Amino acid sequence: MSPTPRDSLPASLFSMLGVVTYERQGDGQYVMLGQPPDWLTAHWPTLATRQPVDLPARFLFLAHFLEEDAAFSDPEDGPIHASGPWNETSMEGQELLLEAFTLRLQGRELLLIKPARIDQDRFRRVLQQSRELSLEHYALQQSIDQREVLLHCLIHDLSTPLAGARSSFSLLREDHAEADMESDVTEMIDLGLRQVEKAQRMLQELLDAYMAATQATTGAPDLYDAATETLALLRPTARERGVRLDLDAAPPDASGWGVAGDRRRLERVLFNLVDNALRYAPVGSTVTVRLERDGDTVTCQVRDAGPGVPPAQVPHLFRKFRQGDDAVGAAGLGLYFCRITVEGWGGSIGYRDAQPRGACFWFELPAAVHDVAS
Amino acid sequence: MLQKKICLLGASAVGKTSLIRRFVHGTFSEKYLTTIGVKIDKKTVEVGAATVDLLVWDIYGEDRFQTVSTRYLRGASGYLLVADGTRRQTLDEAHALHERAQDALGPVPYLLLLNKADLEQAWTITEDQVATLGEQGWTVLRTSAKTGTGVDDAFTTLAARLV
Ligand SMILES: Nc1nc2c(ncn2[C@@H]2O[C@H](COP(=O)(O)OP(=O)(O)OP(=O)(O)O)[C@@H](O)[C@H]2O)c(=O)[nH]1
Ligand SMILES: [Mg+2]
Repeated sequence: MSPTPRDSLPASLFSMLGVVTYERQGDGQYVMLGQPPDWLTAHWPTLATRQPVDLPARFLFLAHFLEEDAAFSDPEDGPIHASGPWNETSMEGQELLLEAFTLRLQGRELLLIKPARIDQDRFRRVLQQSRELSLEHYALQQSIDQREVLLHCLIHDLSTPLAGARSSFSLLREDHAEADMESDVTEMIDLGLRQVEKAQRMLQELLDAYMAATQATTGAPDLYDAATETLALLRPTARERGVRLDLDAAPPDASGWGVAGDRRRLERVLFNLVDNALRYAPVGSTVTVRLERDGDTVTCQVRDAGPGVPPAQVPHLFRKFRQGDDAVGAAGLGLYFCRITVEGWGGSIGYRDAQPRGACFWFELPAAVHDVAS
Repeated sequence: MLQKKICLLGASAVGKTSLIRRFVHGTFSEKYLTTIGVKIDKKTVEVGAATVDLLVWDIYGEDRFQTVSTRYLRGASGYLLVADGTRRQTLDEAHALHERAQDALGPVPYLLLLNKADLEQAWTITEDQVATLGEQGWTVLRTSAKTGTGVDDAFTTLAARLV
């Protein structure tokens, strides 16, 4: 077939580069210029033709894209109009990611289509992996928090009745000793007492082992560093929500920002509080983390300018189960985790309304004791 | 025939693609393959006496790696916001997308789908939160692309609001 005037050199070049070029006709149909690129011939043979084709009817996405006001504008008036990637299922059912461009050139309205970016596969892999990791990270974090809470509950829930049983046995034995009962009853009581004491010891060992495991990496963590790191982690989320994140603290001086606790869980506490604040902070506002040191105590406040906590809910904030809630893993667990963690280190945690509006969650920890010798 | 464009909007991995696949093709896969770009599917639904051709736009998920461009929303008659019941923060992302969608489209109909209803024991979105959304005038539906629960209902409820 002899080349027609439509077969301009650029169109043939484009097809070699994998781009198909169509020209829009007065009746809204499209005519291909140059040669069809391989992918078009392979996947949509009926479109690889010189006959006018109704592309918008064939590709729903294009119908939408071609309606846009900026379609077919002169490249001199602005950047070439691009569709962004879209997925199209080929005639044999294979999925292809395509991209389209429109422009007006010398009065002709041109539509260029090509498979989206060559590094597409790599982009997808990276994106896919990042997202999978985010999901895994979230699930792991969730299960760690839950395990800590569960273990805490287990130890707490078991130690109370054990302490009760122990004092009952002790009282019984005293009574029996005074009443000078038969020796086999006294023996039974002694046995019971010994068993309870053994259970208590085991519980204590469990607790010690657990503390050793979770605090293996301790040393007094630096609250300033932990806060800086946590804020860096949450900055993308804050940006997404249009909220500023501020750390308000004097940089560490000689006395430092060391506190009782371990670094990983300290960051978890900060994360929970700041993440929570971000959730309620209005767009354009600031969430502030403020650190203060007063003698042997270090205080951290997390303030937002949101609606604050309704007074009726304040007493329930740090509880494991909110009234009416009965599922472990409910939303309140984050604050409950903060409470048991901070209290476990000899600190305290609480809530007050921020002024003039908003919520202020605070916690207080004993400052780390400086070892003068080191 | 009446033709309506609707979009699925939500954070990544909440189940947008799975919901569409369940609705249009009746299938489900456990495997997660993140969506890049957009994909349009078509399904005809009957609402009352009317027949509507739904053009269902599956739009890639929004997270810290990618932001959804509102240009894909142009011409949409309504949208389904999707959150994952097991990840509470996906509700925040749905809120953010909702605001942008309202800015771009004006007050068109929308529903909020809390997906993965089959994983109820792992849910972190509470009854309280759902009730609060209800008080604010949102229609909230629980769906599971895995079991199919609530999926047809979600699409037809939205379709009914478009005719
Ligand atoms: N158990 C369960 N899993 C689901 C459900 N819906 C989706 N999934 C799973 O969740 C993962 C993500 O689903 P997708 O449909 O790909 O999510 P998406 O919202 O399209 O994700 P992006 O395209 O990345 O934004 C997959 O592993 C699905 O199998 C559901 O209702 N129940
Ligand atoms: Mg998807």
